[in-house]
Amino acid sequence: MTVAFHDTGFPACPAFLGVTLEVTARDGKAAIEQGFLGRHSHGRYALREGLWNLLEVFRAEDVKATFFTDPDDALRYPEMPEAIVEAGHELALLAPAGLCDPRHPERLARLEEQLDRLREVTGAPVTGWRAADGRLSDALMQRLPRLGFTYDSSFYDDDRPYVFDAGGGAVLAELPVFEFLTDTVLHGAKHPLALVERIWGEELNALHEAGGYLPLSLSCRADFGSGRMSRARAVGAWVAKARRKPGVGFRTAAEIAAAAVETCVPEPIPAIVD
Amino acid sequence: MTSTYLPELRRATRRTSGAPGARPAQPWPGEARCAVAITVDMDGDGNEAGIGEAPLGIHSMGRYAARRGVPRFLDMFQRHGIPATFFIPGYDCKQSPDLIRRIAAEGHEVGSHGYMHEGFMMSDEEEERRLRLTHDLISDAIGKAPRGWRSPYGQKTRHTMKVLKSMGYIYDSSDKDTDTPYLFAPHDAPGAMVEIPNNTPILSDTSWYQDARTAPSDVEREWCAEFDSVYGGHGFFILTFHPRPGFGSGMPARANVIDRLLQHIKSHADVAFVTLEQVAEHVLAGAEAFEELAI
Repeated sequence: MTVAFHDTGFPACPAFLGVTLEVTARDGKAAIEQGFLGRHSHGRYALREGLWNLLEVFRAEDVKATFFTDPDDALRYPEMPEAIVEAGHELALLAPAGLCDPRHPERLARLEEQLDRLREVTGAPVTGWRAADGRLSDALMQRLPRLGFTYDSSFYDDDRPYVFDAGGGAVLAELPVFEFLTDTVLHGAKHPLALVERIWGEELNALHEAGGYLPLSLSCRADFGSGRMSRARAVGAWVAKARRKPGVGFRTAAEIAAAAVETCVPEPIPAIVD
Repeated sequence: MTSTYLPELRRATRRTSGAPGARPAQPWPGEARCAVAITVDMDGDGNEAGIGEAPLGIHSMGRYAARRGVPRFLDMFQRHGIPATFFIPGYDCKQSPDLIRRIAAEGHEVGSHGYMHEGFMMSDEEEERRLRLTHDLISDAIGKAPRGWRSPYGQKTRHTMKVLKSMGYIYDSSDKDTDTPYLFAPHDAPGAMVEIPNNTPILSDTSWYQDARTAPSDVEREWCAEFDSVYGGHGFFILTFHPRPGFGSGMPARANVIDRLLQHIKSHADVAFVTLEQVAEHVLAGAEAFEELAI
């Protein structure tokens, strides 16, 4: 399964900030007739306020994050990926919903074109994958290394990163995520910020004590994300609190994935067995 | 398919005691003041397989049960020196037989919990096939036939009970209609089984974590308060946990809640930790002291 990283000189408890960035992707279906107006304009907050608030907080805390960015929105609003890369953060891919639908092979083909353009425009390697709808397939996971991806971050099945055998000698690191360390889950439940902070504190203490790792998953939206400055500052406070714990070190997801590949024995991609 | 029916309360202890509504003291195993039953519904990746989803991405939470959650619970129960009752779906038993054997080897009871945690109506024949399949998988894995069953998603019918009784089960733990165990007698078949209700909205993790996204420390406070109420009252405290993330308690912060709750319970005098099989045998041995429901 997984092994500690400490024997490679890596933080004993690696932490990363995984920020999903989209402007039109999530509201797209609902906004078809009306347009991205009124209640369908929440995604635009990320472009106009949310991303910049979080970048400001990350600069103040001197922490590097990983931004999983929708390719349509990244190419439509290039100032977003440019700012991310310029600030030294990692640019990764937020894979659009519906990619695993075998009835629509053209979606993955289109994504591959967008990926090439994004890498060209930003100069960033873009080696990380997170599925916007949480859905993957065996075939897709085997293809990801051939597309230049070194890790996925969409699973919920372990306390620590591990590595998949993607076939043909290729591997794919997996950086699991945790529901209660995901802002959209708690803000989506309309919890007051103080309660979100309390829950994050409890998760931090327990995961650190269990010797795990700390993936905090964030969104740049204001409605159920951390885009508002009050919420972005709460993220900064959590980073400061985590850093005070022995062994905690913030890295980008790509750096954690590289450490996992060096230390973990690859395991098969799981499937239904009957 | 079975038709709808109305249950008949044949023996109601709260109505026949001296004071209306008063609950007579009921004996618990070992003459303890309070019996505590810790139950775990494994809910591994059979839950997702049962709806046709491979355990990938958003559908991977069931994998956590075998990888982390169940081992974490077993270590915790061992530290506390207490037995628990694990309800295992047949698919999960097939995927992780060594883990199921560890559960039994460490002194816990193993009961059945569907094949792929199915929560839908099916034909009587298909239902019986799955019940027998799971029964055989568990029996083969641990060398002992399960005697207790819990429905996945609360799904069960009279036919379910009839088949289970024919296979030698002595109890079910799925209903939500009272706080304490009782006898459950089918109208059209002789003999009774024991029903050990589990109050899933309150005394289980799913509603708190999935529906309300409650802070673990707040759940701990609720459960401690519930125990205090039960300890001062009827004395039967049954909890249901799931060793996965999402709606369960598998991850460290939530497992720590269980750990601290166990410490709270153990700080009280005259408490006995029991398996559901022990509870069922106890009820069957002293049936007159417990209520009886005919269905």
